[in-house]
Amino acid sequence: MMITSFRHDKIKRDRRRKIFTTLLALSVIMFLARGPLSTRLGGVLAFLGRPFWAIEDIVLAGVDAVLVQVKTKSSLEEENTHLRELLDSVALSAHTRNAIEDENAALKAKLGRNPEYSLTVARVLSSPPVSPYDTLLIDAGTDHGVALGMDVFSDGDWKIGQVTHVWGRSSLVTLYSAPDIELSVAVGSSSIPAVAHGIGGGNFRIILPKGVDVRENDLVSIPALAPEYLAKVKAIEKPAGSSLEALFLQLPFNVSQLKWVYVAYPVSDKKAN
Amino acid sequence: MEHLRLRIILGIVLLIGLFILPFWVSAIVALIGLIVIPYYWEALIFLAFADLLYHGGVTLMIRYGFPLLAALGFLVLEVVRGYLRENSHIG
Repeated sequence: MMITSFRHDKIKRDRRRKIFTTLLALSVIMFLARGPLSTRLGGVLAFLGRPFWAIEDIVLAGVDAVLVQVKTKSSLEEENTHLRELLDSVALSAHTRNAIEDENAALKAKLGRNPEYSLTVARVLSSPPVSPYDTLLIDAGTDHGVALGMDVFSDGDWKIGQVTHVWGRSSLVTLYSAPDIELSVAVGSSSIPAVAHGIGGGNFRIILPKGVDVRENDLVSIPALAPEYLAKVKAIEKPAGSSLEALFLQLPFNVSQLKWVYVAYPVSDKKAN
Repeated sequence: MEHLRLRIILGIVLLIGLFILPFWVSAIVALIGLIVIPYYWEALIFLAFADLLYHGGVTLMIRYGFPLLAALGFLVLEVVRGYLRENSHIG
């Protein structure tokens, strides 16, 4: 009876000790996650992750190569023809667009407004859904001149986020679609001023009074000298009995499939580098 | 021994998952570990590392929501597990 009681006490003591240790360990984890060490530890993890991302690239390239082998000749020919047609059409529109952009830049320069930044390319190491938050890890850091607060673009003047943490050879970009971010924007061709709220995964929501001139597929831009686009209007919800309408915006590409992004350097900084 | 083997396998999956796998896959693996293996610290470490690497935003309206929720789940599970073990021992 006494032996059982001793053993029972020992088990109880043991359990209390383990729970106390757990609480202590949790406090340490929470301190590290919030404290000044968090950025440094994040950098160490980004460094440790590099071999994993390199292996992932090699494996994905191998899988692509195998898939090409598996495809039949006729399906490849069909795809090739389709891509050629697409390329011709895109090249034509790109030519016109480039001419208009050059003209636009020349006119602004004549009026004394020069471009405010130049772009440097960076590889995306990790993106949602690997990242549980709307963040991208990119392979450019302080060694490449990246600094906190720099804007990040994807192809086609889409402004997607901002650098929020920087390490030596990598940085963390918080997407504007992250749930706690609000951004002043101009909606549609009438440039209606509004506030876009991030709702995650490259999606946003805007609340406007009913009756404003907004249609699906309208562009939502960020007011700036150079063209900067945030998203396109994907859907408009007009609840009956309400004086407001909700616009749901979406980036025209999937943020989880981004491979390359562009970090915008202020022109003076880039010259200094 | 069975738990140790499972613990090592899940640990490797979590390590790879931190950098490569979608977060929800790794989170499910961590949850399985928490339920099946007693004192499965690796789940908490994984979530804390995910937070450090991807620098947490807001989850379920709580900043640092994932590590906090995991810590709460860990404590509840261990208290319940301890209580059950203790009672079955007396019985």
